[in-house]
Amino acid sequence: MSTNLQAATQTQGGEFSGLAAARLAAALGDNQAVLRILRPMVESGEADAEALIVYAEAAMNAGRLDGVAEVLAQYAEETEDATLQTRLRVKQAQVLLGGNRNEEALLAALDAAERAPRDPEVAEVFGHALLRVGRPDHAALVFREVIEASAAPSFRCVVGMIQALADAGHREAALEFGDAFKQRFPNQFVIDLELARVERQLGRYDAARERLVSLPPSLRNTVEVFVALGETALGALRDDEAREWFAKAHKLNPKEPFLRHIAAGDKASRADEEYVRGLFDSYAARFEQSLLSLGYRVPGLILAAVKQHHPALVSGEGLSSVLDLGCGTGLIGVVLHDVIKGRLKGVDLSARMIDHARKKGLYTELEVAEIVAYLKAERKRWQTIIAADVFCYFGDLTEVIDRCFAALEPGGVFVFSVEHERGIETWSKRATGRFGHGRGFVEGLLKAWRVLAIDEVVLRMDRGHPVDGLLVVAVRP
Amino acid sequence: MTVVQEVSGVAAAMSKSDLRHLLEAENWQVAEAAARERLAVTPEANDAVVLVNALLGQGNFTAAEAAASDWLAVFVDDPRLLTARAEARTRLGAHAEALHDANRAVLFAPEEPAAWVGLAEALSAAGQNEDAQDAYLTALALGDHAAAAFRAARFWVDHELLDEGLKVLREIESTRALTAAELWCVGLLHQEAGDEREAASAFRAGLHAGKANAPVSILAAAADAFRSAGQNEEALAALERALARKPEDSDLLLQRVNVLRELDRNVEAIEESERLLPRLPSEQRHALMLTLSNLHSRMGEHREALSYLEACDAAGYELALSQLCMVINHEAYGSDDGARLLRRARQIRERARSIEQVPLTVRHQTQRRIRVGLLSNSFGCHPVGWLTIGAFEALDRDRYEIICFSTHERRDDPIARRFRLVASEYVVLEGLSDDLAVREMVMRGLDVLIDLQGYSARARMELVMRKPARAVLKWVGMQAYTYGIEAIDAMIADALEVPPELEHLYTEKIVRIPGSYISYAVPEQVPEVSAPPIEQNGYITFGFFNNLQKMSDPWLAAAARILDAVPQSRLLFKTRGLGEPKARERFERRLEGHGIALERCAFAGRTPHFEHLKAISSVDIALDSFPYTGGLTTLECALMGVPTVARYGSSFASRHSLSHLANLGLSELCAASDEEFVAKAVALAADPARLGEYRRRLRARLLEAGGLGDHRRAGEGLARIIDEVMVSVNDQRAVVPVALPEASIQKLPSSQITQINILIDRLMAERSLFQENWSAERNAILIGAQLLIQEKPRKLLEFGSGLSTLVFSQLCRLAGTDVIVSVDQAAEWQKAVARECDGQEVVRFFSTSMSKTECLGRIGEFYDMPEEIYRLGPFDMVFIDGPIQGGSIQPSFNRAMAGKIFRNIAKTGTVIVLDDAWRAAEMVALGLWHSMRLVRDMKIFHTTRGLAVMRLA
Repeated sequence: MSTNLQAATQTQGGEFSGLAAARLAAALGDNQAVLRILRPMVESGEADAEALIVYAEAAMNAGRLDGVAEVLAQYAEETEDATLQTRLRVKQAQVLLGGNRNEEALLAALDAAERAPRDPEVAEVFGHALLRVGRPDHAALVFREVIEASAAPSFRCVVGMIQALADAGHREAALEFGDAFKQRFPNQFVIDLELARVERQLGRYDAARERLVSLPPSLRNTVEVFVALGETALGALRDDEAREWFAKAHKLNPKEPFLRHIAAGDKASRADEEYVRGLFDSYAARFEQSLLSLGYRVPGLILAAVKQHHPALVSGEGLSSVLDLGCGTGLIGVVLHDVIKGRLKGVDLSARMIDHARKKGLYTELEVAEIVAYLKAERKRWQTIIAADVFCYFGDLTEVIDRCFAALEPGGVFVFSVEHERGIETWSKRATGRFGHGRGFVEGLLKAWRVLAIDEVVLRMDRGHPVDGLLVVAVRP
Repeated sequence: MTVVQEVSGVAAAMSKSDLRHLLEAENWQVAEAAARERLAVTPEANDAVVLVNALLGQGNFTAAEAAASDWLAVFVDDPRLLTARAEARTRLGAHAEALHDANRAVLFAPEEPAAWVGLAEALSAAGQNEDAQDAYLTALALGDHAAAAFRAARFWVDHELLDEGLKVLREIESTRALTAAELWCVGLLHQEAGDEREAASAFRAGLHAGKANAPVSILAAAADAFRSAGQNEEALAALERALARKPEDSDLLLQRVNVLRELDRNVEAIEESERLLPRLPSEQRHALMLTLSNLHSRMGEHREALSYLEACDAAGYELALSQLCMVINHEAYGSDDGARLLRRARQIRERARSIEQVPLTVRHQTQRRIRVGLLSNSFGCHPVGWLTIGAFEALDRDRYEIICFSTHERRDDPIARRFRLVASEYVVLEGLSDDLAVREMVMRGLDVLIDLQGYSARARMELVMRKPARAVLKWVGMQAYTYGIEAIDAMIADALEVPPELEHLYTEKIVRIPGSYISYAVPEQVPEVSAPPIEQNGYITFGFFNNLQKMSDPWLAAAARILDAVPQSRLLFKTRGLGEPKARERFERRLEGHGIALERCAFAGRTPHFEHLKAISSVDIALDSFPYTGGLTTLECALMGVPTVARYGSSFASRHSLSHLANLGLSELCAASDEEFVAKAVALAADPARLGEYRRRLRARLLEAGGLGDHRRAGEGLARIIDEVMVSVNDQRAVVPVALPEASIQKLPSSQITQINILIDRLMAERSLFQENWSAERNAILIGAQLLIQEKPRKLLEFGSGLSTLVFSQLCRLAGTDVIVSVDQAAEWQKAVARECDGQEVVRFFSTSMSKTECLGRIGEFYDMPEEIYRLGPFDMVFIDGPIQGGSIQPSFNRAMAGKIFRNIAKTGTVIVLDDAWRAAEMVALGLWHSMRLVRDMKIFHTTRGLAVMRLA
């Protein structure tokens, strides 16, 4: 850093240029400052390609990717310098991968690969893009070529190769390959993390655990390794052990929302807002695919319950106004579409999830808000309120259910699901961070309501086991 | 010569920018005189503006207002004059007129940030804070106006809206890039919040965001932020930029000295300081003399260091004494070193007597583990970390709970992570005042506090002096001599560091760990042990690896004799202080002064740790520093198989190496005199077989069971010491119950709590009076309301009217309360509250005067209670949320005075609620009430400022 700074100050007499200052900030790991320095240039189109690349790297590190890929693409198209064009495409592909825009990333990477097939950085991003779009065999070929051609391949290529072999179903080969290479990176734990993941896929939880705990202390005592150990324990259904590892990780990074949420134990009566928002923002792009693969059936159950119990449907009128709390990507909108005759409003904490819901074109209104805060401020009365798979982020449901009561018109219907925890009086937080609720607790909260149904159902699968739930239909008298 | 004479005749020749510079330099009188002279010749608006601002600068608001009015008659509606007059009028309390001027200025100069700042100030003074915020934001949005940044930041800080300010700016940033002034403001707000990394980041961007150069004031603030965030190179660059414009600015130069020191450019810092010293006013001069003393000390120049310190001490400069103790360690030499230190330590004790020890807390019975607090500024790869972490890890976690309190949070390294993992809680005290820091410690109910900092840089010994634990132990971390601090119960040593015959040199009790008093955590990656270099070189290489601060003239004299006696031998100096070329030159002169030939010496500065260990390997024999001997260095030499020859005295610091070497079985290398030191070094140099033997065996000895690296041994020793000290502590101090973060009222069903919350929401939304002006914290009111419902008091007495009055009055029917007596001294405010409570006949308002009174030996101001209130009693519940703090005595014990009338207004079992319980004065009050058995069953709820609930005994 000192050399950078000296060079910058000497050449410019102390008043160094924006790019030099941004580079200095980047060298200090201060991504926020890089973005702040270069943003006016990027937005006004005054940034040159070098500045744009520095900007894109900072944006990736800071996870602020909106619009960055587009600017990179534009610059790549406009420049005539072939080398620069390749670098811009590589950055574009990396940014797109960061935003889970995998197909687009593959195209950008392909463009770069056509120009510079032997460039290791190009091959690396190309290989990772292939992995993301589900072509691990092809990715393995790309990684193998780079690794064989290079005297000192990057650890990212090695990790890519392990992933490619594992995803292609060659998990034993992936382990063998990784173990053969990891000695070259004695100060890296990333390869061990990846190998532990493969071992978990193979159901070898003890081996994964052993691999991670036997790392030297300076590598083992890190957030990443503790989280991997926690996930390993979760996989092995050792929830108490998982909590312990997450607690250790929390000590090293007290600000990380998920860890903070787990560490709060039963003291917190609901999930950390930042954690839920972050979880779903990052999850949004692959949310539906992932849920469906887990046998997610709540929307269908809700539809069936509404059809069976809702007076407006029983009488054939249709639903006049529906409030969908924690609407996510809008799956409730999809299943209820045919029976709604009036307004459908969705509320969710995650702006990214709302973006996906908006694309469906089914909601008359969508709002990014925390649902209790939303209900507090709500002045309208609704005919129907639905809360599908959202109360698993609340422990104490008292306030949210009371607020729903207030937000319903007399005779209005409330349909919600909870994860059913047997043998407890109130609620408990699981090692996964979600809450389970006792049946008696839920029934106790509904004393002021006319309960039409409390059905025991299976919500989805988790780690190979069914997740039991309760589906409730209640009317405000 | 008067000021006027000074400028006479010159002013006319001055350019406009000269005049502006006078203003910038706050040279008010000269500016005023110059402006008047110019205005007398050819009146120009610029000069009138300078005149009015110069008058404002001198605090002469009436004259400023008059001058502005006069010149506005000439330069009609000049926005700068309007802004200046607005400021004068604001200061004179003429808010409506000020607002009129400020609005008009903005009308004529909507692009001028200064006009918007003027409007914002006028609005703020008139109590229109929302509009003021908007005006500040407009000023900030207009570009790169430093005053806008400073004043907006001040506004948010003064109104306790720091988070709000940051939030507003964050929202703006989500829509567009921030202007330079906005970024500066973000930096200033983070700086105020003590978030140095964020502050540095904002300034880093802000210095390059605008087209114009950042002004000096911003560069200085940025440099400060960079330095606090540990980015000293960057701080230096910012200061150079500022100094290019104001080369003689003392504050900037002082800042530069401190940055140079952080960068280990000690000689440059010394030279600059000596140049600066004569120009400074006395208080600043003494501070700089302390810095100079520290700089000389870092160079191992202790005589110079002492002379500066003694001058400061003689002038009564408080801070000098603790530094004196440190320097004496390096300078004290001979048979009376321990005794000299003891004398100084006793002086410190005398001066520290005014510091009051805090009342302590007791924890719930169920928590049986002994709670051990560690206080340090160096939790990480630092001698403190290397020498203690193993022992803490070895403590039985079922019996001892560790909580770390960090006063300087910079480190993220393998040892730092081990501290975080070993601790059940890791509390950062940085940025907290002493009061708040002590509160953080007290509220955790510590049994033992282990001080690991001593008088090191950024140490906070005041926290130790206030004794925030039942017992305090001193261990490692500038453990060099007796501290003389009453709060320290015992010092952890071993049989060699402090043998029984030297115990009289300590004011602390000496407790000992069997074997060595430390526990060395050997690094994970260490170089292989190599053969002694003499085998390849054919000559002996001596080495000095200690901090240059430990260099002394007697050592240099001894080294010269050793080199003389061992022909061909070489001496390697490897120490961070010699990384600076100027420092090396200066040190070379010193060597020459001792007759040491430079061609026999080699020099090296700081290197990464692995390389440092390799460098140690490149010598045959390490020559330990004295009188302040090596700690970690001696162990690292042993780790590399290199023997250290050491000389010991009677003080703690003079016996570190003796302890380490003897515990390694190397007492044959320890000397009691200079002659013996020379003789042992020379003899060892002549014995290559012994050198080879050491190389082969030392590392293993370090790691063997029972040795210096055996953490179980040290852990067991530490545990025994803690157990013993717990048995012997005799708590005389007042004890109040501790608030635990989870403390809450569980009895009410949650739906009822929701109802109360909704009630408060509704009352706040409907009553504009409470949207800005409510003093009691929401959670405090919530808990008060729950108590009301649970306790069902028939009669409630409340000190301090407000939202709480309204909430309580609405709950009266539910609680069965017949009367609420609400007392306040602010009549107008109370009338407004009464209007909000209209129709609530249950409330009786009393507006009273205040007078000074005495209770339990403290002075405070309390309400003059009318007889009628006593007649309405006795009350079943007393809610104390007034009087406000204030008056000339700080901390003000106003609320403590309520204790005086408890018996007259209440009865046994009455519930007493005290808001803001965590403030220093309230803590003392609680301690006193409790110790006098005035109250019982006390517990404190974890609201922002704490809420104590208790019953009258």
